[in-house]
Order: sequence, then structure tokens, then C-alpha cells
Amino acid sequence: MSAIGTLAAGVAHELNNPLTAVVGFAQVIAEKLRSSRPANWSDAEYERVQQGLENLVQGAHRARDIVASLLRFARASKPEARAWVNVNEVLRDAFVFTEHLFLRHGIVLEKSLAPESPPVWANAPRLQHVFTNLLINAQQATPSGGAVRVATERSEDPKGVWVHVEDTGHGIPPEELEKIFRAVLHPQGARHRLRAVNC
Amino acid sequence: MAERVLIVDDEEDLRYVYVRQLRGDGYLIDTAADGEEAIEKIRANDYAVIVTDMRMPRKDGLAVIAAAREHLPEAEVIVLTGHGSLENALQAFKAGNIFEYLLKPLDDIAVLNTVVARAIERRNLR
Repeated sequence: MSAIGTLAAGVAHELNNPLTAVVGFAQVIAEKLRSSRPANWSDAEYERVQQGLENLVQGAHRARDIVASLLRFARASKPEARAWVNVNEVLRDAFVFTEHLFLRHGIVLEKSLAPESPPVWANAPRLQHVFTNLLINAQQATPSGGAVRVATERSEDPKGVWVHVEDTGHGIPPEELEKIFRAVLHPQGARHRLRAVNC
Repeated sequence: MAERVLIVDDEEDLRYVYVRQLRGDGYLIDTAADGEEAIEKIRANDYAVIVTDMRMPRKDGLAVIAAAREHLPEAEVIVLTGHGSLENALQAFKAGNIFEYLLKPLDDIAVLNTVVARAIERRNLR
């Protein structure tokens, strides 16, 4: 395992332990409140606290998922190594890293991932890097109240997977259009080609 | 007679949470704060189930699993670790009789009750 992989594994362990305590104690407190609710609490207050505890648990789970994604990202033993990669899984990892940006800016992130898409021959961490950048760019280009839509679809000719990232933002000026492909990975010699399309 | 369960984790908060979660099921529960303490208890008591972390000071989870295989071959071992990987899981399964390999944090702490109950069920079927 690379040095960063070892570091990530250590971080994962150090984070997952306190996260377990957070989840465990939140559930203990919720259970205690259910069995002996304070007499001076209104229904609204009680519900709000129970919801807060549930949010605490969901937050801890989200942190766990981020740690797991980071670990997958760091585990690539050779930076240029390629393997058969499930594009939907890589996109889901990218969602884990970026979803909070959409939430914070009031932008809806719509996902429509094809249930059966063929694996592609690619470097997963680099692919995740590309997807993460595309999502961040889409978020930055989209005003609050807008939407970003991510979809995958199987392609038969050429064989592979189309990944569509669309936003309701201000669009790309015509003179900038040809530059966007310089930032997108086109692995040479890949048996399945991946293309990102911005609209 | 109540089944005996050993909880092994170097985090005091987690030992508290696991004990609190399992005590309602009527088990006799012991705890150990590290691998060495766990091995001493394994040598001295007849546990039905051992729930153990992997990364701990003074002997790790692998040593606990090996001690359980040597001294309590009938005991079921449940690994509950914050550092899950294929390599670690393989090491654990090679070291001893693992009933389940769980990653922290659990989606729901109540999963622990289910897994321990199933482990005891399997042990009693032998």
C-alpha cells in the first residue's frame, strides 16, 4: 500500500471509532428519551430533539461514507494503474464528496444512473477526480434554486458508458466550448471511451 | 444459564455502548480494554461469544482471535473494526473461527444484538 493509502487507513480507523460512539450514544439518548420523556417538554420540542438525534446518526453515517470513499481513492497502489471500473460506483463516490456543496447552495442534484452499464477500462481515482471536478464546476455555474442532473447511459457504438452532467446555469460561452475537453480525461488506448458532455 | 459474552475494545465509550446494548438480552457480559486483558479473561472463563476490535494496544484482535481458537474453540468470534479491508478480513478469518466481520460504525447498533444472538444460536447447534 502506498504511503497515502496507509495514512488514509489510519485516518479511517481513527475516525470510525468516534463515529461509532456518536451513533451509539445518539441511539442510547433517543431510547432514554422515549422511555422517560421530560414532563416539561412540548410535543414539538420532543419531536425536534428526536429528529436532531436522527440527524446526528445520519451525519455520522455520512462521515463514515466519506471516510470509505477517501480510503478507496487513496488505495490505488499505482497512480496510473487501470482496471475494469464501474462508472456508477465512481460517480457515487464523487457524490459523497460534493453533495454537501449542492445542499449548501440550494441546488438540486438529480441522479439518473443506468442500472446496467458495462465496466470501463480506466483509472478509478483519476476518473473520480474528473467527476468531482465536473460536479464542482456545475455547482459553481448554477444559481441557487437551480438543478444539476447527472445521468449515465449505456452506449453500444462506441461501446461504453455515456456520462451526462447538465446544469441550469449560465452556460459556457461559445468561445470557451472547445477548451472544456482539455480538462477531461481521454485515456489513450482505452477499449471503452468515456465522454463527458456539458449542456 | 445465561450465555457469557466478552466485549473487547480499547475505547471506553464503545465498551459502554455495546454493554448497554446487549445487557437487555440477558447475557453475562465481561469487558476488556486491550488484547492482553482479553486473553487473560479467555483463559479464565467460558465465553459463548467474543466481540473484538482489531487495532488495540498490548496485543491486537488477531491475538485475541488466536487465543479464542486455542482456549475456547467453541466460542464464536465477532470482529467489529473501524479499519476494514480485504487484507484485514482475510487475516482475521485465517487466525480463527470468525462468525462475522463488521465495520464501524454500524448502521444501527441493534445489529449487534442480532449478530450476537445468531452467533449463540450457531454455537448451540454444535
